[in-house]
Amino acid sequence: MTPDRRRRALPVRILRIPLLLAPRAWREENGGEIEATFRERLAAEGGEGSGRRAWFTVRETADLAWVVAKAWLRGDRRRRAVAGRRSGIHADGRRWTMRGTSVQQALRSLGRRPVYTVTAVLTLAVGIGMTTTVGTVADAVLVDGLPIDDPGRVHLVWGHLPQVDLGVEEFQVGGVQHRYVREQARTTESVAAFRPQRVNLGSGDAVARVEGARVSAPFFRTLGVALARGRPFRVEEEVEGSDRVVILSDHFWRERFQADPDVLGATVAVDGVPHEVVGVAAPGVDFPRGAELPSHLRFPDRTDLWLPLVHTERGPSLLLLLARTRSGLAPGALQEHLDATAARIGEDIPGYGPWAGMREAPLQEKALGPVRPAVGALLAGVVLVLLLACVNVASMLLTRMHARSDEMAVRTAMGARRRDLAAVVGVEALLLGAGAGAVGLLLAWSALGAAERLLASQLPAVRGLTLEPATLAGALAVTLGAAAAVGLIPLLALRGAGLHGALRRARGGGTRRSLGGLATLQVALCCTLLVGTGLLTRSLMETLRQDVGFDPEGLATVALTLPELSYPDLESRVRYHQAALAALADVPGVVEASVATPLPMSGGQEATTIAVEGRSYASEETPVVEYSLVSPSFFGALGIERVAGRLLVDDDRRGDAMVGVVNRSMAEVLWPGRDPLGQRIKVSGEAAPWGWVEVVGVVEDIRRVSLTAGATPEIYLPFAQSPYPSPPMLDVQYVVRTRTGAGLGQEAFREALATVDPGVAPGALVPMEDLIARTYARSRALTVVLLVLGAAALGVAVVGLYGAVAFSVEGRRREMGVRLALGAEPSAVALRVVRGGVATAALGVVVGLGAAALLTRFLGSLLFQVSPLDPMTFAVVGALLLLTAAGAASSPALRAAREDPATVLREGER
Amino acid sequence: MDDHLPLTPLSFHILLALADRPVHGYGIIKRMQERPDRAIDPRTGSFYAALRRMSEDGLVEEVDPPEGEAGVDRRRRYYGLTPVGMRVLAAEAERLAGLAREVRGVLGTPGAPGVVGSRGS
Repeated sequence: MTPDRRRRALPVRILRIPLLLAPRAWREENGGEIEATFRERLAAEGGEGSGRRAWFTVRETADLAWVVAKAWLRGDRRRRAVAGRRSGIHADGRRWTMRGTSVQQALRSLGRRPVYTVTAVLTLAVGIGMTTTVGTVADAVLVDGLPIDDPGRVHLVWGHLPQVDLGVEEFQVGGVQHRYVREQARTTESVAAFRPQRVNLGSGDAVARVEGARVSAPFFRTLGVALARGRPFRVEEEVEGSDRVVILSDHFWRERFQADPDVLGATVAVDGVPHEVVGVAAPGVDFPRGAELPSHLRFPDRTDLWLPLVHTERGPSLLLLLARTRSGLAPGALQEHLDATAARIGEDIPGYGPWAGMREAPLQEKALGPVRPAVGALLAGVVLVLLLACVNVASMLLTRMHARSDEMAVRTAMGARRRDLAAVVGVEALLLGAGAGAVGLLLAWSALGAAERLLASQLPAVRGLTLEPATLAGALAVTLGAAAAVGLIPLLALRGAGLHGALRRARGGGTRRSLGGLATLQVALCCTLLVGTGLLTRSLMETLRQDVGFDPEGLATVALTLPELSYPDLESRVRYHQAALAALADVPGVVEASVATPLPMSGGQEATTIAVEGRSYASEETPVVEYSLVSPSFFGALGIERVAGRLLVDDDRRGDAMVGVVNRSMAEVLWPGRDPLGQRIKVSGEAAPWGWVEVVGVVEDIRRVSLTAGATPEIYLPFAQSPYPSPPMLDVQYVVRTRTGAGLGQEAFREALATVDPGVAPGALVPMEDLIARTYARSRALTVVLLVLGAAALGVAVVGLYGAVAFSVEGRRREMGVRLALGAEPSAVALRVVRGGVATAALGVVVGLGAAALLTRFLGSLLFQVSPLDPMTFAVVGALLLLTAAGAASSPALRAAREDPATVLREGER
Repeated sequence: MDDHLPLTPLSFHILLALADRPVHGYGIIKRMQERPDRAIDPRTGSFYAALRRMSEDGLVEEVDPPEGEAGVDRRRRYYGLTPVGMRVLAAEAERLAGLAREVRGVLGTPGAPGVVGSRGS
């Protein structure tokens, strides 16, 4: 076909769409003329411009669609007139065929059985609504990421230390690694380093703690995001003293600067030092943020502003790297490059080799990794529910077909063809599908709000969910697919039902078997879903049963960051913290105030290699322990139990012999069977320029990262002695035990801390219990959603089972009447019915448990201390479904047992 | 007769287009479009729906294509006025003329009698 002919054909094809949907008689009467006239008018009025032709076509098609809709509504009158004229039957203007089955007729038919209609529509609507909701969420999570350019080329690079077993995969890298990767740029277009940096912004009473990030100059270019205003950082700003510039995120610029268009060049106080605003990022850019990055690295939910990263190779600079690869790079090339770089570092700097390992992954993949199993489980659950709903509605339609078999037989006798009968079912199914689609969209619309509340803290992409046109189109496709699926089964059943079969009514044997099969299928689908839900629920219960190792109730946490310029050395920082702890302890209702970095359950983890006095290790076997700096009040405030020796005291000061308290795991790993007290270790390594730390006490293990991560070797050092970590005691968290019911608010803490230094603004007050809850929020959200899905599935399956049993009882009334007449106990009759229902379900349970056994392995990574084949869960789900089946069958069973045999038998003779 | 009044503008113009001789469907549309005031330009679907309704109401009927006339297309369906349609058209014109007189009485502005009703009701 030439392009020109196609151009002419397309408008006609478009116009045919409403025409095809028209009532047949109407179409036969008018279709040819309308189409011919449209062609002529298009040629005469459409002109040459394709815009005019398109506009003309749209107007004509819309008008025709409206006319067709009206024709359906007026259908009856027209059909009678037309059919009468054509067939010559004028008696009452009505021929007993299904020709011209109208939507109106189907609507009336549905309206006569409201319970059936409402059940069917709601069943399908639940399926469609859930599919749409989860589809929207999955779309937001999997497709919409950061608004970055060519995201496939942006890779995250992190430190890889396989010899360190902390249960985490990603470590930060140092300035040395940053420099080498940047300079050996064979595979990369640009490389940038970044780390989180909380700061106190503003001055006077308006100081606030905000989430910032230190980033190297090529950061925005590497990430591939634009600035809405101003310029990115320059290389010369990566130098101490020249770094007093700041770039604002769009949201922060709007909230804090009221979207001031003249903000560029303005001066803001960052940790008390004036900084010049040189840029504002494009909307939506708030990287680095926790969603894309490993949680133990403690990135904020979103970044408010960026500061230049001062390049340094002294001490650990705790960086992550971003690399934008050259286009067309082979997969794996960047990793090879990183391996070569690490080897090179090992050659250049003796001893650095084992610590220079690096790994990479595309940023988006890295971000999705932890979420993907959960989204997959959700989608699987939703698909099961939708399938279940379709099967259920199909069986309802089948029941209805059977109930109308007399009517159908008469229609057939009067000349209706099978196609016409199919049209009855088809139109009804389509109407149910359309109604369910509409209700389902409403459900989805309201469910999105709930989904957002449930998931937003875990998945920032979920914020501001809307039903997109693409999702709406998807929902429509699902609806039509569901309607087609729903219509299909009764149509297949119809195919076999000839006139004789229908007229003899056949006691519904075929229908009964089909219904039984469908009920079995529903139970099986439900069973599979419930096993998955059950496993996740058990896993969550196991998680919640874990002992965190301290008493979180009544603990309040507050984060704060000291400005480095005002607190340049450890002495000044210690002075601040001691004064702040005293001020907090004076707040009424406070029992004990302490400070820790990193705080347990805050997501932060810090580890160090250590030297152990009297031992030597190969480089790769160097012991690694987690360490934290704490105030002596820390153990008392949290309620951590002492096992041996003493705890830390205020007299453990700088200059004195350094001491530390280890946890039980560290004592058992490093000094098995020996007394750990008096042993000495050295943070970092033997060559480090600071002294040995003597172990003076042992405390119980606590959970540091989450309820599901086990305890690892750990040492607590007095914050006043802090030998090594850099920057030490700047970014800390206070944890305060309050008296039960004291109800201390943010303000009390803020005021107390302001008396020490008004330039240091505390962050929000977060109860320790909330911090803990955040560590399992994702699995809780998933479990809640699956429980809702499971409940819906169970409900649908009960409806299906009830329908099948009720139908079977209806068809066997005569048989039961005979039994009762022959002296059978009513209870025995009832029991037979219940047994039939349970047998139907039992087959479904077997199939469903089998399917579950094959599928649950994919849940493995989401489960904690529960096997994917957990016998308990399988047994409980199976038993639950069989009991439910018995319940669903009991009502028809009781009805059967109460039948009066005489009535039933007389009925049978008729 | 009064059952049919008032006519919709579209129906009125269909009757008007058929007043002097039978015309096929597209011809009716063209005659409407050729009116100097182009008072009405119906969409094709609505037009045929109206035509069909008027046919059922007995205002128009399908007729044989006129013999011997230039430009007759024997493949098309031609429509003509029924006697009822003719009377309804006249009655509607009278009704509109009455309305026009009333309006002129209120506004006091004389109008050209020839264009009465051309804008429909």
